[in-house]
Amino acid sequence: MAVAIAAGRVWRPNRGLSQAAVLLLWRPGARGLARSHPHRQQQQFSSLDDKPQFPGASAEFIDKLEFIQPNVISGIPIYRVMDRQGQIINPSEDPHLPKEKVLKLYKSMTLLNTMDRILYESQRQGRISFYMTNYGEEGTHVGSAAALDNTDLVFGQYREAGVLMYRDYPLELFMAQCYGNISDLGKGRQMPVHYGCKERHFVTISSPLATQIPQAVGAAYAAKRANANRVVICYFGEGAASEGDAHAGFNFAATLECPIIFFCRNNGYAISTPTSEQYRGDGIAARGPGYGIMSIRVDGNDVFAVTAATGGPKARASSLSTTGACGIMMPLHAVGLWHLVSHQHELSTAPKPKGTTKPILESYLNSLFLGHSRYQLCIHQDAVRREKPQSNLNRESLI
Amino acid sequence: MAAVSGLVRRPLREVSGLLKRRFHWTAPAALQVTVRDAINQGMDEELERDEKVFLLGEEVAQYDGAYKVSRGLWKKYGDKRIIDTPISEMGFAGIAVGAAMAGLRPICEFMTFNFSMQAIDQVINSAAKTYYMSGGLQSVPIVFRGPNGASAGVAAQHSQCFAAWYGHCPGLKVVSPWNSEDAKGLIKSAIRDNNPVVVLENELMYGVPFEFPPEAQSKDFLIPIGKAKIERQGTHITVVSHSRPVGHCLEAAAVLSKEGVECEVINMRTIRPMDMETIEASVMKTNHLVTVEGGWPQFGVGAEICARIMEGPAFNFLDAPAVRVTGADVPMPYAKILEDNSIPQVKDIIFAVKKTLNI
Repeated sequence: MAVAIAAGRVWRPNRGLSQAAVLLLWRPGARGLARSHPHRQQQQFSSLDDKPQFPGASAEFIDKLEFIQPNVISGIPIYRVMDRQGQIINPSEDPHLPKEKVLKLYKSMTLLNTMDRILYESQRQGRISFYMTNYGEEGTHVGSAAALDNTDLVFGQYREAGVLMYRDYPLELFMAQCYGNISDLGKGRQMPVHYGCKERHFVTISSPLATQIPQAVGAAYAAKRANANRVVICYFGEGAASEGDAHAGFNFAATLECPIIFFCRNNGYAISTPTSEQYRGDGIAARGPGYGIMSIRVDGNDVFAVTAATGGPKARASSLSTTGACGIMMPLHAVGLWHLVSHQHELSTAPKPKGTTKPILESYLNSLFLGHSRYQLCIHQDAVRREKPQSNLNRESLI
Repeated sequence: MAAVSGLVRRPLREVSGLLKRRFHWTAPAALQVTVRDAINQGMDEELERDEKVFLLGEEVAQYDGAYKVSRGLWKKYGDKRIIDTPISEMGFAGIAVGAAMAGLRPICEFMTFNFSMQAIDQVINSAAKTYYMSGGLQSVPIVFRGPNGASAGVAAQHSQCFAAWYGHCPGLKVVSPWNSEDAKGLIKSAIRDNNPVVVLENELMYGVPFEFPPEAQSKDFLIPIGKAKIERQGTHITVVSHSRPVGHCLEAAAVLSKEGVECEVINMRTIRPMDMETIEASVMKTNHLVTVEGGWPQFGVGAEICARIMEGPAFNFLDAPAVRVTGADVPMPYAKILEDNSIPQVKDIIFAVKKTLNI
């Protein structure tokens, strides 16, 4: 049995020794044998070679005492397809989506934004007790939904209404759920924005954070066992990734090799807690490789990038029948974009926190980033724009 | 003669003037303090008194608390005493328990007690049981606090009452304040107590102002844990409750009083250790008992009270079976009409009293 001690936690009183800081008792046996699976493969050497042969770690020896520093200066790069003006940067990365799909993406985002405005106002007027807007994150929802099949199971946290919107959930049912009226399929049991739809494979939203993560993994495992050729996508925020359930979920997804895509929406804040207080290190994306999960960081405002990045592991996951691929996607919203604290938790009579420049942020959001993802889309597809001017679509969605 | 009388009259006038001045003293207007401010005051005073006390939880520092209960504390005491944590109840409850074991006196805030389920292993297996398991060697002077029970329009996962769950465990003290006085006195006693104490507040009570008696304004105002209070004297029936329903009981008592039924309303204040003496003495006086709580009926606070009444001397004084008024045995629904009918209302309490008294 080998004991590997992570760097940073070992105190070696005697620095004179040149051995690596790993204490072990090596027992040759089944665990040390190489397996055919790439993830579990270990180098094959005879026991006479002076190479490390520890079960649970595949690496070279080093005789210099060096700690790995968490890299926060130049972390995992952010994948994007369009620049801030909406121009495709690298033509080979252009996804060449069919026009109908591009239009559908745009319509969904616009409709979601409009619905958000109306329901947010409803909450402020006291018509519904609670609402969570999706401002700024529309691109992540529809982009990822566009890359999935309609039968792929979706586990959300609470800010993924765009996925349901993309899957054509009727507006009446969105409203009915928020109002808890007689048309609500959930029969008025749940708080607003706790949508669920069996036909559209969208698991009902549950309030406690990160509980959906191990559940999604379980569902993915079930899909794998049933040879169902579907993947599961699990959405959560960067704050929820601090919960213990997240750790368990990631670990199980990797060890059980489940066809699951973890999609982390990082908007920089959890209510008022900034990421600097939420976690250290190079964000959520950097955790993926630690668990054995292939990972990527994506600009969440770039719909094409989100679609491409979701589509990658999705294709892999569904093409491999016995071994699933897990991808963690970490859309990082462009710096400066964050969710208005006041929009997130509309409970009781708690007054707005001082210091958040809400009206300024809101108009900034609306003009720049919201329009950003849509505008990018718009600029790129000139033909689309000429056909359906943005204002028309807006008007249509209001109706 | 006139001179003498003048001499006498003047001092008399002066004396009577003095007397008059003294008797012109008017009572100050009664101080109204909300439950939120009372808890805030209590924590502020304890933070000031003992530098080992600190507060940690989600949003407690810069946001002034998710429900503004810790308003101003971070500004006053800074990062080292008021700590914003990442979103991991298990994590920060565990950290708090460890800190308590090492000699600090943490106040661990759960945004609601529903989320304490994420940390329940730390609360029960680590905080509650350690003193016993260590044979008295290791104490855990920690306070877990936060809103408990039903709020308004927050549905099943934000509305559960945990009084019965935590009240079940030996090793824990559990208190449930109703008004501002309770809130301040109990939070201070909890912080000064060397045992793990669970303080079950109520979100709907936070904004409610109550009259604050002068003794409550003292920095050493403590309410003993384990002692109930008789909020209203009565002769016909004992009504026992805790937290927000106490207010409903008092409203019901006012209505019933017009019909000639005098209810004795007991505010439990502490769930564990329960003050059975007060309840028993009252039942022996009134011969009737109704318990009122927001939580679910099965294995609830009312069930425990009834069981203990049966086991004690008060049983022989009952003229009718005790009746429990509880929340409906369903996960709390969201729609207002459903929610209103899932928690005990004043009319339910009145109905239970009349049923017990057979009127």
